[in-house]
Amino acid sequence: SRQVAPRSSHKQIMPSYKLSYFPGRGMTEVSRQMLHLSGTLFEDNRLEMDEWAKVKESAPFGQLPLLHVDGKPLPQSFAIARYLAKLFGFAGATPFEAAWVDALADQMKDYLGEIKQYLLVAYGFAEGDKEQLQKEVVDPAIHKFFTILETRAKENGSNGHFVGNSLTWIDLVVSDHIEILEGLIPNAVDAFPLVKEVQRKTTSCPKLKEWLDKRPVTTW
Amino acid sequence: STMVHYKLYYFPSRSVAEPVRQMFAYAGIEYEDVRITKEEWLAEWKNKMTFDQVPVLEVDGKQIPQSLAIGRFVAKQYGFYGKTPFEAAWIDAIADQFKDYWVALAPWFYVHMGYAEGDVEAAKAKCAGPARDMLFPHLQKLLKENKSGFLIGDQVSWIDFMIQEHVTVLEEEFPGYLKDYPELFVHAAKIRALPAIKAWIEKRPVSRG
Repeated sequence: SRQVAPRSSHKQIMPSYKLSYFPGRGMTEVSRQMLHLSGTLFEDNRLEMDEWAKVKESAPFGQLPLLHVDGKPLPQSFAIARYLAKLFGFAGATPFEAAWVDALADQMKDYLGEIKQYLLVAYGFAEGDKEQLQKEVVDPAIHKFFTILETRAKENGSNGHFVGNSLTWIDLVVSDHIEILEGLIPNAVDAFPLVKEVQRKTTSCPKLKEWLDKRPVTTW
Repeated sequence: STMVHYKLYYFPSRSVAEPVRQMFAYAGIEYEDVRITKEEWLAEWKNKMTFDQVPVLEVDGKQIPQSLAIGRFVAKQYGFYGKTPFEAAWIDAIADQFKDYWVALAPWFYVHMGYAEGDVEAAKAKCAGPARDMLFPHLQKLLKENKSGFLIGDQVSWIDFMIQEHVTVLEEEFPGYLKDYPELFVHAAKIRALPAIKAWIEKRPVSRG
């Protein structure tokens, strides 16, 4: 692990943040992005499997990612994302908007569950017929989820966001996922122009580009 | 002040809608408890629901889909989300872990309930233990450590209702499944005994799960 930026010498009034995950993006990347976008120092703790094996027993829920806030652990990738989103203003401007950000994130989890086996095979973590999985499982799953996203983007006024008038964590997590997905299936979401516009607008944000340019390069 | 008009759309069962119904009951909030049969769903309602799914919570005519999003919204509105942002985050984490457990349990659960075809013993052998291990050791630990008797903090929260409802179903459908986790039965009994919840349980429509 390494500190992303040096601690200053004056009194630290902000909590300390340590975000622990494997050396990949997954559903943890959105939290790294929000910490960076908010200008918050954090330890970007990336563990190899053998390092994880040593600490797994002590992790609540026995899983990664974990966010430690002043040393207190919080598990579950989207609980971490929601916590940081609320703190840094990426959760939606009203309770109703926040509910819609949550609903899209839940729908994304359902979609990720559907394509999970394909991803495991594609990255070499499991045996299987990648092409068959893509045709029978992934293409329909993409169609279902991204049609929902496209409809949502249109209902939201085609303003480059899925909810409301400013960046939320669902914009971030979908944008990063599209990049990962299209690394496996080129042009996977070409049929969804408003979704692509959300990705374009999100990734062109200068502060985010700063992070995208400096983050470790990973395929997933 | 203007009252918010709520309509909760779901099937005629408890399942993922029940925590929301219980929060409304506990907070004394009026709502329309719309129960749609399978036939009505296909004939009339599916196309009206954003995401083509239920449950949906309609808030002054505007829909919110996805049971957990609805749960979070109602929890926030009526004080079932812990006292601090960190408690709220832990409530979120338990809800998400419950969802992951549910996905792991579903192949067995659906066959057992007759919602899907399959070999119930084979499904049980494959799913039951691993699913249970994902969730109940962690809930047991939280209950052992928290003197209040609630899962998080010192007042009832959204996930107390969620877990209690599911443990109730496990007691009914799979007695013995949680024999190593007696704390979960104590917790479920505590939540069911809360006066507003007791009253709701006595008057709610009866369903299997």
